[in-house]
Amino acid sequence: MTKKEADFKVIFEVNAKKIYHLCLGFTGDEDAADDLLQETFLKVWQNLEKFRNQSQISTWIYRIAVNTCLTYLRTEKRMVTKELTPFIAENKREEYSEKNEQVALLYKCIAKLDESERIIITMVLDELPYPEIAEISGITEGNLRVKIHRIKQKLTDLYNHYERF
Amino acid sequence: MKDFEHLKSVWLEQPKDQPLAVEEVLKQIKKEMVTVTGKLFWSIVALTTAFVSMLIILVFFAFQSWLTYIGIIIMLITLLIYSVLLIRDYRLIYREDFMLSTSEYLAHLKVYQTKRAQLYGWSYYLYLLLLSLGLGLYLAEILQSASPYFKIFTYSLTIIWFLICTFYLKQKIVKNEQEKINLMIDRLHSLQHQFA
Repeated sequence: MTKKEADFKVIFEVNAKKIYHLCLGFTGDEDAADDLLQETFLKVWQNLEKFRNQSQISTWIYRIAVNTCLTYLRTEKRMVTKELTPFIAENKREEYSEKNEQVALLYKCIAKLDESERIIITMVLDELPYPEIAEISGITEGNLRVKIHRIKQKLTDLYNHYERF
Repeated sequence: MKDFEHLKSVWLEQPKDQPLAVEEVLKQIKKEMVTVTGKLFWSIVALTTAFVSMLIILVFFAFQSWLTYIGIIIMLITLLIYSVLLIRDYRLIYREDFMLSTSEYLAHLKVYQTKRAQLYGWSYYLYLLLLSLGLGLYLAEILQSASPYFKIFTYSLTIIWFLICTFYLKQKIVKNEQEKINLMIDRLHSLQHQFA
């Protein structure tokens, strides 16, 4: 294994799960999230030599992932609707434990948010530090805190609303 | 009534299955890199083959008219220019900097869109003009002893092919690409607006 492959492996193992959550929260679709995850790490691989420690590597990868999510267009459907279909596996036979149902409901609620809100809230849920989220989003920390407060409230209200039904 | 901390615990306790194994991802990445560079490689091979073939014709065949030599040289120069543009495009496309912030990436995308519009604009017509001129001068001598019907047939076929490329193929390719870029720009604009 080359040094680049070894470095990549470490980077992937540390960051893949959170990036996958970001992609899944953004699209609401597992297949799309898999595609986006692969595309993101393809770009990480292509640009690994360019990374010069100007920021944390996780920030750098998140920024790639955000831009990849935003510019991802499926070949069969060029128009991506703003309102996404809920994250429910219609054709799969799954064991619907209470936990699975709660996760599915959470993703359904995230899908109701605006694109920027989806991106921010998945990073908040994954407990990224606020300064890092601000850097990835390209907004000030002050502005971010206000947005996060609003998005948390919106998501909680949505969750409680849908949980009743 | 659930609070945000409950939502966070649901999120963090999601199934811990790794979405994809790292070896599988590495394998896909290497395959993807081969595909990406492969397409360009074969385009360059095709152009190089055409260039070398023209060069062989120029060097090893004797023509009566100096205009035929001019025609071949024009075609050689046109092929060379097109190869350079193809390589430039490759570098443009595959150096898309996904590491930039959203606003920087948006600016970068707009520059890319302008450069592509230029390529499909005056550059294409210049390329077509030079190729037509070179081919015309070349065919004038080659078809000298051919029957009038064959001359008409060959020239007509060439003109029809150029018209198909200009008014059908080019429009289709440009429309698809511009649609995609416009959609990307719209989404990035919308996101900028949401963040503001």
